[in-house]
Amino acid sequence: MKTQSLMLTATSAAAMMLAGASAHAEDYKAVILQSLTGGAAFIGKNVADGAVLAAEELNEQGFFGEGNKLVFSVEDDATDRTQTLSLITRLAADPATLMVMGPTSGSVALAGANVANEREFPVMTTTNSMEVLENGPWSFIMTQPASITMPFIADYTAETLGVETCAVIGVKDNEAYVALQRMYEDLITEAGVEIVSNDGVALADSDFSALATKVASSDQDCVFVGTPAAQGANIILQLKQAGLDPDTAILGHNAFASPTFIEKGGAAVEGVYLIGAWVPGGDNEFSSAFAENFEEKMGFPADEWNAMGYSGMQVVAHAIRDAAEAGNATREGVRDALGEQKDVPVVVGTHTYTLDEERVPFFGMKVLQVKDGEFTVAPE
Amino acid sequence: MLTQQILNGLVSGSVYALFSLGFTLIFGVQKLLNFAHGATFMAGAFIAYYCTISGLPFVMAIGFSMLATGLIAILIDLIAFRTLRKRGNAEFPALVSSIGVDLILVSIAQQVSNTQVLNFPFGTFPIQFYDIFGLRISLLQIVILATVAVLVAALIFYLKKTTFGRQVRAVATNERAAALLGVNAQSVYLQTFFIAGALAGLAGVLIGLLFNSIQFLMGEPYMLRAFVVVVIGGLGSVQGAIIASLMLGVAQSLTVAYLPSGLTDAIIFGLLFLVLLVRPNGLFGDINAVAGGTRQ
Repeated sequence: MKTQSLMLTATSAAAMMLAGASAHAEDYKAVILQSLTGGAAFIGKNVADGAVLAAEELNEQGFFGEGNKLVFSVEDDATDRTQTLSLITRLAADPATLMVMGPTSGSVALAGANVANEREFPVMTTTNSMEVLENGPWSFIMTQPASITMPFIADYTAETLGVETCAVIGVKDNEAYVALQRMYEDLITEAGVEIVSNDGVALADSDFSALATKVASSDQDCVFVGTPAAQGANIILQLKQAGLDPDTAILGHNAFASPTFIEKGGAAVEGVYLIGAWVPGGDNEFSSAFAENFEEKMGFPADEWNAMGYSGMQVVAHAIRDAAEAGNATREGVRDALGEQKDVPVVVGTHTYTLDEERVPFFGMKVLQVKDGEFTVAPE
Repeated sequence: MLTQQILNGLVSGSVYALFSLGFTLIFGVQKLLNFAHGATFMAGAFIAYYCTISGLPFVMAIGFSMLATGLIAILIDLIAFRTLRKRGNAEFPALVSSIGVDLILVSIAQQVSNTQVLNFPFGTFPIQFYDIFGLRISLLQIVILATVAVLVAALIFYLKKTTFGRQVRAVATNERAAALLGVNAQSVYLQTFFIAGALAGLAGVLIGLLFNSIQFLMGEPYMLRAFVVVVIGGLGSVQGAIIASLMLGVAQSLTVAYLPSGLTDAIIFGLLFLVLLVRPNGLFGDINAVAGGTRQ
């Protein structure tokens, strides 16, 4: 009887402890708002996929403390300013939502930043546009601005490869791509490289036959292709088919650091130089584990934007946890914590993820080259 | 480079022709702007892609794709246009309705492809180039030019020389009078949609193969250019659509080659305004011209 009574007491105590624990368990609510449809879906959908995987893993690992978890949902900004404004306004009206990871890019991100600052609601946009930061203290950027990334490939063009003339092909209908291209042009021009032609394509274009003939018929030491991976591979394929001199160096920016680039380009993209925050397949324990888990979950390998989404969510999670640990899991607390993030382990770049005093992110870049159908670190 | 660019333009223009013919045919017969035509074009490329990677021989994949897009186009007519047509004054509601169908098809394609750009496996079509009089032309470009020429000739023959063609022209000219003469207008509409869909599907496959890219938004730029083609060529005019398509292809190539490529669209639409100023009904005139008939 006494034993039974003791067991009953112990069971009741355990139940009370559990109940107590669950009563103190916190749900931290955040929204992944990306371009799942529309023109920027090639970026936003991939970022969202990476971010969702990170959030699921962090919850499984008990990253937010025992019983606590990140409650997240995924919304579509549709690459549309009106939809974005409406969604952020709606999300800001829910006091439980601490922050938004998004919107994705361009004018949509800027419009989102504008309304977020008006409503004092933290947003971490995917874009690298400094205008988002200038918009106010509540809006952040997840990717490194062109001023950080492009010197890696511009220096390689002018100094390591020593080219004298270059043709530039870029995207004309996406601000982030235009910014990267302009930065590259300025940097190589300053380094003494002459730009012999400068052409723009639309993200939805696939017919580059005229452009390829034009560039292949011209005389230049290098061609810089600043487009998304699949489109870039297609442009390079058409350049080669149009008879581009095989000795012409072909370069691109970090969007090429995707398995898609090699898959779509095949032999045509052999030898192409690029910068990459993400080395497909990963290059350390953390990034390799991400690559493996992502492919297992999605059925296809992770690209730069998947890795960026995964990394961005790590930063968001650290900020929310820091704010919670400081006893200030509010929007203001999360905003402050986000701005103070330093040395967050991420799967992109050469360094940990750190925001400087101006809230500009840094995590480094590598110059890579496609060799034997794989990304390798380019020779110095 | 000039002749090479003209050749590039003719190849692109010939595929525009394939795309625009269906669009202008539907407009000619029904006076409806089918905004879902771009999505049908995209569907053609997707269907042929999935058939090919499933192991179906490429020629059969093309045939299946044309059949499927023809049926999709019929479905579009039945769902989006037929009821509105019965009510009369269907132009504007049908336009909105076709935009809705376009969005649905694009969304489905995006989900199916997981927003990835697809391409036919290497070796689907032999990659072979010929240098003829300084021109570099691929086997694929030759096949495309020949295929489009044969199809366009067959379509013109079909419209001009067969009973069905006469029925199409009769319905396009005056549906009520045609019905009184025993022509089944609904059947004509369905057949027109089938032909338009099959041609769009084939154009999608050829573009996907030629430019190594299949993606859910691929119909949008072609849709925009199809408008230019049918307006410049003359609304509803088959021969106008063909010539305007070739002109557009060549103009596009030459602007990319000799002018800043960012100006291409501005120049093309500038050309459109110019043609409209000089010939308000398009190059091949008569606003009522419909596949060789005149609407009453």
